[in-house]
Amino acid sequence: MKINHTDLEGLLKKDLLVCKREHDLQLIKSKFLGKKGYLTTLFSSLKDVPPEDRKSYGASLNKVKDVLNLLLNKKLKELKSINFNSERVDLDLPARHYQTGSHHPISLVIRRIEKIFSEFGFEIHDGPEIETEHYNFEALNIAENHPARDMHDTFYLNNNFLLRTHTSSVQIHAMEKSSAPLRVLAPGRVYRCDSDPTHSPMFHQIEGLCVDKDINFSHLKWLLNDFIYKFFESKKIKTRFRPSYFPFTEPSAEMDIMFNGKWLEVLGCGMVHPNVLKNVNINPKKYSGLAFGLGIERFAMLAYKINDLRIFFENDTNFLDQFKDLRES
Amino acid sequence: MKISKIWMSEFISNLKIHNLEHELTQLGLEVDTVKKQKGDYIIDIEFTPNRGDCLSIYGTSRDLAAFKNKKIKIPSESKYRIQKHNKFINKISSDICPEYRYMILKNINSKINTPKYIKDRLIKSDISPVNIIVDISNYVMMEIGQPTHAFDLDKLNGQLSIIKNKKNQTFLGLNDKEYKIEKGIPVIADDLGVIHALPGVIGSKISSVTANTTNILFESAFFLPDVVRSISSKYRIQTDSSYRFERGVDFNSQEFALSRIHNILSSILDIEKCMLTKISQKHTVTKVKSFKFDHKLFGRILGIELGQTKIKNILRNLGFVFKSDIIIIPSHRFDISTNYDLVEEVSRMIGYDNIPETPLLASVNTESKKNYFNDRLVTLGYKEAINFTFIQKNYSRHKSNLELQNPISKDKSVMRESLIPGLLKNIQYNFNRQNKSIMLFEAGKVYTKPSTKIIESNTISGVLYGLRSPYDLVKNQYLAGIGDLKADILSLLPGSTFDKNNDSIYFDEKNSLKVLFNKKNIGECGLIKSGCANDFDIKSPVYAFELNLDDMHDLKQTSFSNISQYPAVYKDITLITNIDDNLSKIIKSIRKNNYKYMKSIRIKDIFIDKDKLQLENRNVTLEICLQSDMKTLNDDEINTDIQSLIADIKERYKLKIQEL
Repeated sequence: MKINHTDLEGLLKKDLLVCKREHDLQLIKSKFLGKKGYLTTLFSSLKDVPPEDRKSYGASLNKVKDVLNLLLNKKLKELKSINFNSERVDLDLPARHYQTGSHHPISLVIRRIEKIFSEFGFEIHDGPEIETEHYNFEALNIAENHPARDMHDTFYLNNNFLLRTHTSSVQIHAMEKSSAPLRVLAPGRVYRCDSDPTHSPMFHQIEGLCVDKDINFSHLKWLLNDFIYKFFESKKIKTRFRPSYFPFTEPSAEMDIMFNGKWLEVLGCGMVHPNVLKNVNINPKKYSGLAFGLGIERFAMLAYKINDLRIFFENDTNFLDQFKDLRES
Repeated sequence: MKISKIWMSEFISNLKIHNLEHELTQLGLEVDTVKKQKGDYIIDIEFTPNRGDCLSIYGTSRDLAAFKNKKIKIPSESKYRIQKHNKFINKISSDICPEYRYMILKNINSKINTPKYIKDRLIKSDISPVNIIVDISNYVMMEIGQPTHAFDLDKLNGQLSIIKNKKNQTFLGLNDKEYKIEKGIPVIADDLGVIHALPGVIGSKISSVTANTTNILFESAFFLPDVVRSISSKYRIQTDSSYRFERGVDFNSQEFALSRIHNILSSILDIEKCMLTKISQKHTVTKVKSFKFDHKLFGRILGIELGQTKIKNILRNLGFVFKSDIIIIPSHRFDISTNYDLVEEVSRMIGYDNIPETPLLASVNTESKKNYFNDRLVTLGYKEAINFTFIQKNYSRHKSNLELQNPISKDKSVMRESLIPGLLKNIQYNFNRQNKSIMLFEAGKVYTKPSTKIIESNTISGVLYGLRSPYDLVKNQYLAGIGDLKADILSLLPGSTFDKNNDSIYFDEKNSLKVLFNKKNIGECGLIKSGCANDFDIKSPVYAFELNLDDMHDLKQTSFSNISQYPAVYKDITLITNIDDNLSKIIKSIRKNNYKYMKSIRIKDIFIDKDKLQLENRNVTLEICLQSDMKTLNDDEINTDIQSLIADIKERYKLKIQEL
């Protein structure tokens, strides 16, 4: 069949009408414009045209070529922006239910505190929970028969083992392991033989210790104030230090914060007692240290406005679920 | 201890209640409550164990007076004479009682009423009035801090001795309780060996002063703190007296206490002149302490330069005495033995709030701890639980349970060997509160004692119970199972593998797997034994895992492997298998065989052949992926591999292939 150049536009339009894929468009393109395509054939027949008509015929072929290219490009654009959304989406479908995990608020608070102190080079240490009298008491300058032991209702196991009553025992392990200077932070579970609405037989503490040359009480005050400001994200919070007593610090202090118009005790601290340093072969004439210990539950209760200590260990999923925003971790 | 403001005002003038609370707190004498009571204020102070010197109105006032730089008024006492002649005491062991004073009062009318102001003040201090003698003894203890004891002289058989008990015997205390006192316990006994008091702790019922008493031996002693504490803790008796002796009573206040008692009594009764008997023996505890004063330490520890004069003035106000470079400690300050203790005294007096703040020099920022495993489990949908580490019982076979000797209750009496019991308890708790889908984990220590050494292993465990997505559309819901568990473990620790579990305490052997990592057994996963779950009233299957965290940190650096540029070919083979065929092991073995182009193999589908009606039979479709790094594979190459795999399955693993 002889195809006339005036037919080409029509033929192409017909083909394009049924073309659905880019691949097919390529085939169509070569059918019309390829090496053996219609138009190429017509161009090659130009030499058979009488010379006087050749110019005008050539011009009309070029015009057709432009038209075909235009149509093909248009179609290509069309195919590239194909719309898959032929079906309606049921927008009333509820969200798929993924179980949402959560960190325990105690863990969240530990992380928050670790982060604050790691900025000052405090390294996280871990120590045993089942301890000897030596690490829990004696090395911390709490002699047997000292009334200070009344402050610690201790759980005992066989063979004089006991459950540590405070994370202060990690001070000794840390200083035995790596000598001065050092900065240590030790979070963990501690135990007191006491159970009522405000006391749990197991709870969590974080112990902090910084031993170096020229560490003094003014550093302790600054560090802990700075910590409180960072933890509560407010510089306006009022704090105070008052004398207290711990056998392993001298001077000893208790830190209070102003909370709802009342002073609230939040942590114990002090300068490391020289006997404690001597017990781990650190020369107290050369080094001094600051130490502090705080109860995680107290901070978690303040941070999350929790009013009952017992809820931490019931593991009610309705409670745990409230801490699912992972940005807090 | 409860302190009346009016009583205190007898020692210091011009006390203002609104300042008082603040001032006491600044001194380290923590005010618990302040209550208004009949025109007075009752201040309840919680004393730290080091401040035995403050356990009286006088003692607290003395500290406050030093702080306020005021003079303190001393209560009036009778003039007394000391006699050496000792008729009533036989022997005193200096290891129990270095200082002993007594006075004898004869023909006393003990029936006479105690003056109202004394009774009132005792009641305000939480002490019940008894009779005139006991009341005045208690009054003076509250006032100046020295406990005294009155014996009914007519009930004593001969002389008293303060010695170690010679024979086991029972002792009826003033509190009407009976105690079995063993041989060797320090006692105050008479010539017949009858115990009349546990020194510094409590007197006996038999020689206590009653309304009928007429002749009295009034004791005022310094008992050693350690001795009193060992008795009071052994027999669990804490009295106002033992409380004070344990914390240290002024070893110079014995005579003062008796002359003060005499002074009060003589204003009520007609009594003889004050005559005291003194028995004093040398002891290190009652030696006046002194040491070289180091003024340089103050600046070093406090970070503030105060100047020597100021420091010394503060210490003098507190009763310390300087003799050239030696500082002498007052007899009431048991808590002071080094210059460090003096630093606290000075900082207390200037006020902690007046010590400046100095920024701590930053050190290298340490990396905060990695919480990778917890984070991953939370992302997977597990909620973190924290359980008590003491539980009701372990299910272990070995008998070396770590048991608490003084548990708070029976269900918190043994240190856990596994986190599973705690998590099962959590399932029970939440299921009882209508939660039908529970995903929990805990990371914590478990405790074992395989030999004499106690091992604390860091462990991480999780439980899956009920529906996986309870709030999804019904068609999307399904019960959580082994597949979920495996996925979670593989997500937690890619590269871990599973193997048959032959032996387990918490897991059902047939329905659980060992978890291996780097060829090391790191834990188990699968169904919890129903016997164990039954103990927690759990009625349907619990899937769980328990992994040893300490074994999970060994990280090998990932090294990149080349990605093929050529297309992969996927072929399916369906096997006819039985549940006992241990397909995982077969697949593991197939992986090890060297088929030229096999890149990976996985279970694509499992379906039960219902026509055969045997649950144990199931068809398993394996999907084999073949790929070359060098070229596109042709049919021949593909078929060679597949055919040799099929031959192996039939011959080596003895399994049938479902022909298409």
